[in-house]
Amino acid sequence: MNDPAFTPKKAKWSRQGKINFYIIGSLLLGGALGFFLPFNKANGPSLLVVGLLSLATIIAVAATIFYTKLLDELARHTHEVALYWSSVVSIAICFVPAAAIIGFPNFELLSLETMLGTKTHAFAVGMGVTMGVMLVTYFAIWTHLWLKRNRA
Amino acid sequence: MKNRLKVLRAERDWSQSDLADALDVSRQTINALETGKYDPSLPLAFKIARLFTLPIEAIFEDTL
Repeated sequence: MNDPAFTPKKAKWSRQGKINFYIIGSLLLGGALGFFLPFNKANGPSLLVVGLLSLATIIAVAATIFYTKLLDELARHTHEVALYWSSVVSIAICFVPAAAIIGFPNFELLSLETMLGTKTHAFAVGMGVTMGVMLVTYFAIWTHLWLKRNRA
Repeated sequence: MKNRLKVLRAERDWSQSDLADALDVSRQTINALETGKYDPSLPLAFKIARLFTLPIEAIFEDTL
């Protein structure tokens, strides 16, 4: 079992290498996409709105970390699974309309900004819907896991 | 993974809540462990082994 002559085969790409490639690749791709998007500054969200939103996000992340630390391991596992899938679902559902709102090339959702008047309102509603989708999915998955585990 | 948690608990006449309190986890966690719906982390498995003063393999059995 402890044969000193035995050396495990090295994969061409280590697991950490693949993770690093994924993270750096995602950042570069996201940055490039953001850089080339034709942002429309007219009627866009004000600095105050963006600042408050950033602050709210930081507070939400801090609160989530604090809340997660309070849980025991099964509850933490349930929370993490629910949070992961709710993030996946909300990104999947809301990414395309979000891109449309900020004016992704040659692709427009006419209604939201037209209906609400300004980009600020469209932005607020878009974020609200995203958060709503995330919350609903989170609680749905959490409840599903809880019921599954408590079934006799 | 199978485990003898329910039997060991019954031998000591402990409720799920008693065991949960001793291990500092929720009663739901004990229930999920006993019904095989959740495998504990290594620290929790060691904690359980210490509480029952048994080796881990005397409590948990690999079903592979």
